[in-house]
Amino acid sequence: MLIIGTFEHCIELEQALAILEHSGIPREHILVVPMDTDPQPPIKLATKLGDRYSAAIEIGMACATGCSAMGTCFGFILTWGPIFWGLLAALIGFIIGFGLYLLVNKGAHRHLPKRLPEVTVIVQCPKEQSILVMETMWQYRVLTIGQTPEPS
Amino acid sequence: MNKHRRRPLATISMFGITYLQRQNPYLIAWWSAVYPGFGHYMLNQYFRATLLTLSEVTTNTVSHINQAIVFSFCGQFEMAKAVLKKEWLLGYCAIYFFAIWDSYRSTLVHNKLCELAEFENEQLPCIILHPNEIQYLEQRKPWLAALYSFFFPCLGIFYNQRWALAFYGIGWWWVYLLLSHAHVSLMNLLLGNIEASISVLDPQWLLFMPSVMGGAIYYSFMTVIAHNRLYRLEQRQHLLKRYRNSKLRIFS
Repeated sequence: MLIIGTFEHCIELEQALAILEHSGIPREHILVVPMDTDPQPPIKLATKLGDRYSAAIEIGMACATGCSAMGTCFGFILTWGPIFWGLLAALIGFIIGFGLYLLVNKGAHRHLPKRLPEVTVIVQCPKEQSILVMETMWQYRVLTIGQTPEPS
Repeated sequence: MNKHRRRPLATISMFGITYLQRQNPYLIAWWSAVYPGFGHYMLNQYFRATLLTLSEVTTNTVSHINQAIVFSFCGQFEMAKAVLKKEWLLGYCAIYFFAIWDSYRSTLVHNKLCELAEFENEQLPCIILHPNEIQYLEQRKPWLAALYSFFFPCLGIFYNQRWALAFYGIGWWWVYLLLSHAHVSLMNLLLGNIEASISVLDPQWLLFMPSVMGGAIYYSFMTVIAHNRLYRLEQRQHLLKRYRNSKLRIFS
């Protein structure tokens, strides 16, 4: 049987592979294919600024901090005091920065689902072992599993 | 691992994970302007960043910069002029703008170094065991780091396993809390005693707090994202190496 499972990058993926190897499946009968979730070369994923929401949060936090410092100053002459105005100004600054970034970069990023099949694992095993292989995968955060008879 | 790595992307020490990362130079310059030293923290240059923050908190306090800022924003310009200590001002400005410029310039260099390191694609480390510490690459949740840093700045940094910096920040946050009376003021505010909540505050120390809280939230959020990427990259390198001799055939 050929068992095909897709995973996210996670420690459980390595646990699953370790258990499969220990339960007697030779390493040569396992094929692991890292999948690209982005048109750019995978190496770039290591440092590329992520999806548009984390980039927007980045800008939002920068605005929030600036506004919060100003709100704290003004708070000394306003009714509700520096703490309230500092926090409120931070919130307003964040919303402005976050919103403006999303507005300016509308449609500039691809929309991807939250959980992506980042790694595909293909295991070749005798039919008797296929249940064990699939159970191991389900136990360790596999996203999807497929099976097909071996080519003859 | 024992082999000399000329252009590594990341390294793990007992203090945490140190890495090169592509970043926006303007944002790094902005964080240096928020609090000299913060830009260098984001660049993973921890010693110089810590020295810069110490220099900032000392010179700002002795020259009463924060008090002057509050007076200026409230329109009391005479008070602002009176409160500033002229002996320190020029030196303060020189260091302040140098920190901004240096972090901007370093970001440009780091971006190039990062690109070279990525092309080099040296095997990343994934764990070290030190007699007193264990440090490893791990997947974490960015929003959780931001939330912890919001409740008490630098807890998010602890979540990222950079424990020494976390405790340095936690210590300073206690100093700010005690000297600015911010939590006393917050409790008065929640009880409705608005006048008391304002009069108890010390502007000199209060004005450090928005910057530190914002910086801590941003830094811990971004660090989680960077660590998650390094984790993915390391796992890819490992899996490709371990299963490169696969004899599995899908077609006969």
